[in-house]
Amino acid sequence: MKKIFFPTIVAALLLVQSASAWNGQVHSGITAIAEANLTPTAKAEIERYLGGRPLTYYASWMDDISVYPEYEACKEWHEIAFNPKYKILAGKRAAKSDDKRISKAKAFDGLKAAVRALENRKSLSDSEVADNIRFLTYILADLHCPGHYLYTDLTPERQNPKFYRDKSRKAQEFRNFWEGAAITQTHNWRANEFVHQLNRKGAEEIEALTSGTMAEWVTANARNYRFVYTSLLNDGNRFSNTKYRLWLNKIYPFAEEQAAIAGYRIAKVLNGLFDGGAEKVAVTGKSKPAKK
Amino acid sequence: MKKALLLLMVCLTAGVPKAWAWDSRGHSAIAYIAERHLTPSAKANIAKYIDNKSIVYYASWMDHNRACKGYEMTNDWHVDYWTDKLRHDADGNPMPPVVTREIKRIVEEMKDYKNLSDSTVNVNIKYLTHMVGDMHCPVHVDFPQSRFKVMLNGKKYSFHKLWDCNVVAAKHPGWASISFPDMLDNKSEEEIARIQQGTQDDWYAETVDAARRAKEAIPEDKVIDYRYYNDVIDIADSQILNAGYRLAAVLNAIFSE
Repeated sequence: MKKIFFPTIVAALLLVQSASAWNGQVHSGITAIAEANLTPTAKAEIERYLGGRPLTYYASWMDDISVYPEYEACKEWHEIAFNPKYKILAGKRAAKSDDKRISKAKAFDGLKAAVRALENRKSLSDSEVADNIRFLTYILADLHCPGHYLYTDLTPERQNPKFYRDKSRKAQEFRNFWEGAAITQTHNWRANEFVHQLNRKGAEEIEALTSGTMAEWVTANARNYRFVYTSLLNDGNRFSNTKYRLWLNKIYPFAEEQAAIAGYRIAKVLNGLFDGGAEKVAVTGKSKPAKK
Repeated sequence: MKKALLLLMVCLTAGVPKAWAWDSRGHSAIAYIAERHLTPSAKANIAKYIDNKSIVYYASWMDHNRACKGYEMTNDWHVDYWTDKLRHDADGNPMPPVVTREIKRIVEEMKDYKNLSDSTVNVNIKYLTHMVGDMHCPVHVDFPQSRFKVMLNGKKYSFHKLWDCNVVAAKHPGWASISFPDMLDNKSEEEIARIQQGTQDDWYAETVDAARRAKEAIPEDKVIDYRYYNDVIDIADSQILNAGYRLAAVLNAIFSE
């Protein structure tokens, strides 16, 4: 029995290592980039609400909490849908859709609610503020995952096709690929490695990437991400291992860039909310032209 | 009992063969160690050519691009010889190992890096970062002889794969690549200087010796268990650390001012 027990533990440990979901892994990476870009004032204020824990500690908290009935609403705060004119299909308009995924694509509603709550946090308890910090952080990260963007003019099948790799008869779902493999099959980073590898942009570039309103960010993302359901899928859905690698090479730098941008934008929003000296980011409306 | 065995099998098939070692994790670990020992001027000069990224970012780039059009020839550069037949040329003269031949060629070319195109310097940095790591992996020297199978916990594994993936993963399961410098990089300045001395041929010869020791630890019947990892982890750790120090030495010699 001992002989079985020992290798079982070793193998189980290895299994646990390899089974870490992308969601947790990349959410942690994105949040760590955000944390690295918080002003000292914002960081201290946020950590005060989070009971002294760093923001990254709660990167996947929304996933963990959505199983409780009182937090059920946040199950619908992962995806966002757009009509062909790139208008956000939010709230009731999304709910009316016959497409089940689109009808639940209310991430932008969740984001708006969290920002509004934090803007008026004096009327909230500390734990409610903490909840909304964690909602905001998670949702804004998700809104930089191409797999979370839905388009009303594309069929559900087109937006979640199955694909196959050599030697594996099991189909993979495209959505799961974006939640997992798009980055980690190439760079299996931990949170601090995301910071080391991706938090390398200069102040001017960060300023350019974080200018505008949140609605403008997601609308620009919707335009930029559409190719993942169109041209990227023209390579077919059955790959040899070599072709899969070549296909992956087209994807991971793009996915990593989105993770970095998400981190910078989360920091910008949180700095605006928790550091009186930092610029605020509006949720909707048109941004002012950049100062020359 | 059946359930325990089933769990064991599921764990072994799902966990062990994951690519997590001298492939991406091991190469990244080596590059992280090297990065710590780059001179400030070398680090700054290198960053100019790789889009301000870390060398770690490109540690496995050669693996990811070996099948890309225009890079097919690099598929042979990761090991010494693909087959024993390549050890000698048509006239029977010994051929240099491919991995050291290419490292030496690139080092020579990079002596004049300021007069090379940016894209050539960029790709040469990626090549060196990867190949200095590869030449320190025991199964990448004496490659044709490393292609045998061993039995581990009742399952067949290629010895090559065992070293590429499993030895470090099994012994250091909780280490991220970025942790390796903190865990291994504890040598004094004098020791580091001593490790960095010598030529690529000397370093290669050391790896050949490491390969010999890694193979000698395999019993004749080729049946191993977890104790094998205990027996060889020092070889793996030492090769990773030496590779990191030497990669830094190679890059510092080219890019330091």
